[in-house]
Amino acid sequence: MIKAVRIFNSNILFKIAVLMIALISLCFCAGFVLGVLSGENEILSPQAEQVAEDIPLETINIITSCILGYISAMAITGSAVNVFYKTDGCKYARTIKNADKLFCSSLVGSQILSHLTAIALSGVISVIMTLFDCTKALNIPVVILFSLASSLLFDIIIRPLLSIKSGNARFGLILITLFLVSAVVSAAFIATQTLNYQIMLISGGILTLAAGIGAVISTVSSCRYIRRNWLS
Amino acid sequence: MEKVIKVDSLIKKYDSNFSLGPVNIAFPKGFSTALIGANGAGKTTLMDIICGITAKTDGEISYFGTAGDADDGDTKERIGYCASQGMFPAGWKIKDVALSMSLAFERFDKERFFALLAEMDVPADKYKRKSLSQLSDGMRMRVSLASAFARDTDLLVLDEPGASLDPLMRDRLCERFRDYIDSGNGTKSIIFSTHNIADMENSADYAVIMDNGEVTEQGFTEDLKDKYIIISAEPDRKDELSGLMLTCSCSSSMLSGLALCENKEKLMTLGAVTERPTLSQLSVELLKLAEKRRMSKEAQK
Repeated sequence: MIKAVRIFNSNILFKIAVLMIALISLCFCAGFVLGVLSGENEILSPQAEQVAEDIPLETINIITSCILGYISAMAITGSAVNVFYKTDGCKYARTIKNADKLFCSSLVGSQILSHLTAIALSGVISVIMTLFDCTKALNIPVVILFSLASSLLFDIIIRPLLSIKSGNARFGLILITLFLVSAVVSAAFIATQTLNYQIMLISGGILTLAAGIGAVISTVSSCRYIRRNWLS
Repeated sequence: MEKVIKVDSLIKKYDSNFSLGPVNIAFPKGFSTALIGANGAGKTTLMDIICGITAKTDGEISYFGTAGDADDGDTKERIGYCASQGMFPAGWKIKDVALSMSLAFERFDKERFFALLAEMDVPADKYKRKSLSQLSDGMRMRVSLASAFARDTDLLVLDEPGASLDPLMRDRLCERFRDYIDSGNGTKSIIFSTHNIADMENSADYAVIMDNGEVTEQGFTEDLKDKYIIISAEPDRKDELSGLMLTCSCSSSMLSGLALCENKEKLMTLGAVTERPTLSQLSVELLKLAEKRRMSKEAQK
């Protein structure tokens, strides 16, 4: 599978994954260090204090992780989908034996890589926040679960992405889904966080499972579409 | 004569009006075959079907003496392919091509690829930061050709390999063709399409002339040159000569065209000057003949 990813995408996807984790971790670290160093003596305005009280850090963390999870899927799996259009126009890929099957392996490999990136990203962010006492260590699995759900939700739109020919339409679909995913996942988190930890964990698990089923259906359908389309 | 590829009743239908075939060709093993035809004659489609890039609608193809599919056994491993354009994704760099090819094909020699690039004046060090889209058409073609020649194959299928190359590089390509064929001792073959027939003439042992999706003539180039003759005569001889000529072009100063070699004596007694055709002259005249026949068929319909 890794070989298939490298054949079609070269090493681009791996570079995207590593870069995303490194850059985002760096930004978070820098932000927190700067915030901690300069923020202790500052007096917040009454409005800012009110906002800080209304939106707990866990919520901001989960929404950020969901968006990053979705973005990791968009950057990595989206690149793999983009390769489909490139290989449609370039002949090299089709000279490889069983290239259609290899391409499907590449797509699935890219999805797995994007989910691992989503897990790593949310994990790194949660650990940094825990280190700075901004959240509890208990919240780390929940954040990871919700981030994974977000990246899995992106996979549902792979099938329409493959068959939509217009670049603008694909961009529109990705953008709309990003808002929907952020809304659904953060709503699910906010609704359950006031209850207890187990319910929060179960709701994250259910969401991840549902997104996973959708992702599998979409991937199977995408592979069928690629095989049908490949030798036309 | 052994065949490297045998195409029987091959048909490819598109949604548009164009369709290929039925095509019957036997590509000889151990030789270089030129596919010659006008734009849209079906050369690229035929090569793509042979390499398993495009699906056929009907017909049979035998690879290296065995009927089957391009994905069967190690067929694709034994066929090297080079497209006229858009072979690799435009965003790739030379090192991406090397990496991807070495992963995709067992018998791809990375070192040989870089050595070939250096020989073709595309040193990988100089162009390592540039993507293929930033290279000129000629440079891109050199990269594609190097990727095909760097594999240990028994057949090379090259679509317009000389189209974007300069005359010097085209000459070197012809030498490389000869070296490739000679290195196989009768086991390695090349199929290539070209519009630069004069430049690639020495590389074509066998020629296939295509017109509007059909093969109109095929054979060893020396046999074809023996079969036909080029005629030139005074324009006022047109009425006497035209009956024996397959194609006839008449200007105010000269009458010229193609005829069968078996009519050589008769034509000479009628005052025509005959000469043995070059492949370039032969191709042009055979394409004119194919066009004439097609037009008359359409007129009859």
